[in-house]
Amino acid sequence: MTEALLVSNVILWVLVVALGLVAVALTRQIGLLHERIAPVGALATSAGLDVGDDVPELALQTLDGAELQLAAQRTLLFFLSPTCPVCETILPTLKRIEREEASSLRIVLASDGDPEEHARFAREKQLDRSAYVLSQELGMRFEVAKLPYAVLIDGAGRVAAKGIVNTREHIESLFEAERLQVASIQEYLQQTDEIPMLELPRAGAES
Amino acid sequence: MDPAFSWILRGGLAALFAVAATHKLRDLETFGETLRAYQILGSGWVAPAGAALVLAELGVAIALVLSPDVRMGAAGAAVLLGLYSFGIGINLARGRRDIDCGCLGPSARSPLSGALLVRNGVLMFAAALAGLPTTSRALHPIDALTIGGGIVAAAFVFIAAQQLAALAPGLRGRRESA
Repeated sequence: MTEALLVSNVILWVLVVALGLVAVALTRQIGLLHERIAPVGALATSAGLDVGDDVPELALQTLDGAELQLAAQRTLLFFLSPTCPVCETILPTLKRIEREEASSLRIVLASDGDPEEHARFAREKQLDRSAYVLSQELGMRFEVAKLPYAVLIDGAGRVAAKGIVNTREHIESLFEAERLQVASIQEYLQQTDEIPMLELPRAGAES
Repeated sequence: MDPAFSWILRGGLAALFAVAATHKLRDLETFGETLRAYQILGSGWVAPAGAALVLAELGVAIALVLSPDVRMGAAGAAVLLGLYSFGIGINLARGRRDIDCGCLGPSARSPLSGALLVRNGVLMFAAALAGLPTTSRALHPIDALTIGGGIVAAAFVFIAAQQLAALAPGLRGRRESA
């Protein structure tokens, strides 16, 4: 009897200690996961207009000849080039955002170069829903050095967020930055050490 | 109080203070910065107070295990924990949650929170229990397993709880902004 209790006790202690070890490992894993799911942000460059600056008034014309006012409404300005493969991978995301946010957001594609080539590109990629402008001055005013580059312009015609966008998450981080009223998600994470809740399906829907 | 239970408490607390002291000794500079960030001591007092705290932690750890009078080590542990809680409480009241609490060793930063006060409260309760007089039961060899297993299991639970508490501010941020 005593021997049986002793054996049981030894086994129980081994199990309790093992379970404690598992608990430590699990909580550690949760911590690692927590860090890993922190949002990635668009790489904001310091060049060009700062967040909060008024968007310059430029005489812009879309490919189909319509006049375009950048500051007229909330706009996602996306700089691309037909020869940039990463830009193409972002296009489906842009189309989805355009569909979902049609009431509150306009998407303007911007580039420069030969209008014929861009018209063909727009047809190929079925970009007919978005305004497509060719303007060297636009890229220069925003000091776009690398593509794909995006600028989110708020309803008051100011820069709400900007950065080099290589993935869908980068695009969404621009809307997050606007919602959280910070210049970039990186800045937010540095400020708080807290991880913002990403509201992906309705990014920016509040405004 | 059964001596085996008392030994688990004393051994666990001694291990905690010994680990805390080694963390601080290994990186005295970071500990000094942490202490300065609490903004309780004048700048001239930070270095001597830091050294005194490290020595006190080591002394408490040794006293808990070796002192013939268990009350000494237990009282020292409770006083140190009380001091830390006081520092944390003051800074929480000042609204300075963002400073590093210095509780998890030099490698991990962790903000101040009410959870730390709860943690210290639990540890102070354990110290009070450890200071109670023990019954004079002769220790059996099997008690070695009970004490050893108890200390190790308690340490794991403590580490796990600590890691969960360190996650809490981030998780709260998610809920608030949702």
